[in-house]
Amino acid sequence: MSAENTAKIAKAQPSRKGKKAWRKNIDITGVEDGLEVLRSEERVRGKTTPLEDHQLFTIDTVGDSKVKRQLAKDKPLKVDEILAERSAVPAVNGRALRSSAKPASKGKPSKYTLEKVEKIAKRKAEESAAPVKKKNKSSQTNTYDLWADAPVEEKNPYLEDVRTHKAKAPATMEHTPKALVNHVNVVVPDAGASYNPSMEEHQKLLDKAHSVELKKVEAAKKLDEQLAYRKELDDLAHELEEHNAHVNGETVEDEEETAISADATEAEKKKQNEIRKTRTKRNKERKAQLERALREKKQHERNIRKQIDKLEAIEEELAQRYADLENLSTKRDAHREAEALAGKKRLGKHYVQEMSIEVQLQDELSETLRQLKPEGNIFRDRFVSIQERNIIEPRVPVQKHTKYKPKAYERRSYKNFDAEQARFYAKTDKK
Amino acid sequence: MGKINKKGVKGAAANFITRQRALNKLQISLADFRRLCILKGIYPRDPKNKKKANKGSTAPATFYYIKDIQYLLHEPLLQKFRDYKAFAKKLNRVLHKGEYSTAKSLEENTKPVYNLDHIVKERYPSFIDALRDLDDALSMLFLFSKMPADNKIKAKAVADCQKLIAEFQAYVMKAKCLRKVFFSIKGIYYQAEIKGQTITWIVPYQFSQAVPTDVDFRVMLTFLEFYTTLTGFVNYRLYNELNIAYPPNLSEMAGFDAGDAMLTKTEATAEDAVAALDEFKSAGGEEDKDTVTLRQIQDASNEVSNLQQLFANCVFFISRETPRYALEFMIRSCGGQVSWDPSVGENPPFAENDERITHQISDRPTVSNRVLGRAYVQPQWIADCINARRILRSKTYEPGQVLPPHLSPFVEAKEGDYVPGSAIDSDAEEEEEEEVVAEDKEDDKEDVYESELKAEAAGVTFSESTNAETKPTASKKSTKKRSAAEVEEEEQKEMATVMMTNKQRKLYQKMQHGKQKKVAEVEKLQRKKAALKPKKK
Repeated sequence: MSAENTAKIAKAQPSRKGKKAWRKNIDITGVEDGLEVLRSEERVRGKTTPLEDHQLFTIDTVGDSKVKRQLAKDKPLKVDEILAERSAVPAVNGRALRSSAKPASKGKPSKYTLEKVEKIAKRKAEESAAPVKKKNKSSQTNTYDLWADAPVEEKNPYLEDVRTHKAKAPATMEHTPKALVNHVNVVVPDAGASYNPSMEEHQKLLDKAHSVELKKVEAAKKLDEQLAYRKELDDLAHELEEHNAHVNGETVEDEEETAISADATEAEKKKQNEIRKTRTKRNKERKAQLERALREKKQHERNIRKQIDKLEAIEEELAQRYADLENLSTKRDAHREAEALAGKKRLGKHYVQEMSIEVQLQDELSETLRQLKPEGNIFRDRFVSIQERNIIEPRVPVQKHTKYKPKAYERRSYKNFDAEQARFYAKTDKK
Repeated sequence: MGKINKKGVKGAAANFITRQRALNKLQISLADFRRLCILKGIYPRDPKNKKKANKGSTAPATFYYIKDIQYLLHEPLLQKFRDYKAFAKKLNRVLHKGEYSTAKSLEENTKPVYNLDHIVKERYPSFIDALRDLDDALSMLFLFSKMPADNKIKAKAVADCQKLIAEFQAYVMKAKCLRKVFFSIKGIYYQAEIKGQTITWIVPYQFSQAVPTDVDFRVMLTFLEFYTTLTGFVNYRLYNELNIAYPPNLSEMAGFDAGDAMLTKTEATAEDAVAALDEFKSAGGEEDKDTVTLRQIQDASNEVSNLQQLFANCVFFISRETPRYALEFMIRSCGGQVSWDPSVGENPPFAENDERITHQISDRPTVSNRVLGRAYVQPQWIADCINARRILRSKTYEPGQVLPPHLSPFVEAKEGDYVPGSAIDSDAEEEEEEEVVAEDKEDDKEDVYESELKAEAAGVTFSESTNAETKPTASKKSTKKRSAAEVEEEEQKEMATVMMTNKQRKLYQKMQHGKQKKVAEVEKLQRKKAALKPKKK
């Protein structure tokens, strides 16, 4: 190991033994450069004494340009310089003081006031003379006949490309919704909606309103029924308990297991015996089967014979059934047609509002026009009519909802409310 | 394999667009989009297959035609709305800073103004189309004419409403085209006939209308805006046809006095001719199945001209408690003269104690200080007269009396319907009727006695004879009335029944059965009425 290290070290440093090795492995560039400098100086100046300090060096009094630039940067702005100049003379106050102003003539108004007054008078005179016409923002448009024939303009073929053409309405604009076509704009009211209706018409309308309400009530009842808790569930629970108990009873009790198993084997044996039938038994069974088949056949024939007697009745029944089916189908078709004519019940997210039937009850009917209390709201009527005709999508007012529920606190001072009040009133009473 | 079709290029997906996408395309707010759709007449649609139209989603959405939305892009109103939005921003900023004078000048000078003329012209290319939608417009205008001005409803809008309805009512009174009136519990329904179009509109009673909370007011105001423009143009055209300058100087909303002065003689004749023409056309339109007989046309036109001069010889005075706005309109549309109490309105033509007054309309339980020569009636009398197209007996409509029912004129009595005729008797015919009835009673009694004697002799029981009586008499009458044409008709019908299938025949029989039931009912009611009449006397 030591030998290797030494070998390494030896390798790093080449030997300088001998003149040749020494000359090869040293670096004398520095020395050589210095000597070269001296020699070059000698060449220039000749062999003389070395120079003095003041001949070799100078003291810089001018300064570095970089530093100069930096100083220039730090200079304050010209504006600031100007503003900083403060003259010795004081500035004049903007406002003219009474003391400073000297009226040309005492008692009479100054020139300034006279000028001002003239100006105002002039302005007033102008205003009253010609009232400034306010720009008519209402844009009186109804002063011409919209449907009068427009004057035919000559078409210049050279200008056609340059003129802006009016956009042509697409064919879909002609498609009016079915509801709009089939519904009347203003629906004529029922005869029973008169303020003084005849008995029959009023009754008819009441019946109509009644049926609508009845349907609603029934629907609500049905819903309640479906949502209500059923008594059968209690019984079911009871049953389940029993069943579970029964099942559990069998598995838990181990004592009976062996007995049960013993019974089981016996039952199995019995079954096996029964399976081996005798020939007689088989024959008997076959006979019984044949007889049964015969009997059934006879019964069947008897039934058919009976039915022949009832043929007419059966035909009637069938006819009735067909008639009913036809009725149903015609009703269905009529219903579908009516629905198609009525328009869409739902456009978008919400359903079209339905107009409630407006009718006054028997006691609400008034005798005279003066005592009439109007029923129903025309705003709602118009709005629902617009929705029914599918002109706009049904809208539901957006309820403002807060993300948090407002919490109620009681201030500490409120706790002393009664005491304070009592004190206050005591004071006033005393007075 | 055929051409590969890309999804979403054809069919429902390419024809419909949801509301949100439309908003993104048009770059306006939802409220402005709604307004634009209402004004332009772009309606929400319902595609057959919503899933395809909405790119696989079945969430409820509102659909529009893509072509409609693309058409909207060319609408100049769109730019106006955007300008208004920018203006509103500036105004808001200035107001919040507190610079009120700047705000005022901004509003006066830079507020963008738009008008809807081109939209009205687009949607209603002809005048008749505009008349078809006039009923909706009128109802809306009447509704808003009595609203108090507040934040949302501008006073100017309400004033415009009032002006337009006053002008329209003045026109109807001049042209005398009111045909039907109905006092319902919701409001007063009028039906007028203008240029062959029947226009039905509703007028609310003048109580303060409660505005329901579930009605979207912005939608109503947009409609109001559009309908105001429409009605303005329609009024202009209507007045042009009567050769009256538009806008007319109506002294007061319900006064209409100056309107009278405008009408000169020549104009009056022109207007009559116009009215007559209208009647002819409308009468011709009523007949649908059978040939239009000249007689029928003449009858119809006579009826209408009667209606127009119904109150020509009557002078009315309206009491304070009755609705003047309705009654004045109705009376003057039928040629009558009317006046009112000075506390109710300005410039009554004549005073309450004028001698010319023939009828006084009052709604009180009793009338004190009755004037001889005046008939005192309740307001329903006028409406019933107009609906019946003749002057009815005013005794049944006295104040304090129980009125006969106010029947709806919109329910047209079909063939064979029972028409309750309790109030149809007019004053003039009353006396004649009484005489006729007296005569008939006598004849009937003799006949009845004779037939009863015969029946007894024959051995027929009383009930059978009464049943038999009605039937043969009816059939006898029917045989007498049968003419050759009718016989032929019946034969044709019989032939047709033979050719029918079982199903059709059964349907026909059902129909006939229903008809017969109705006829029997009507006869029963008429018999009852006949029975009551002699009792009354």
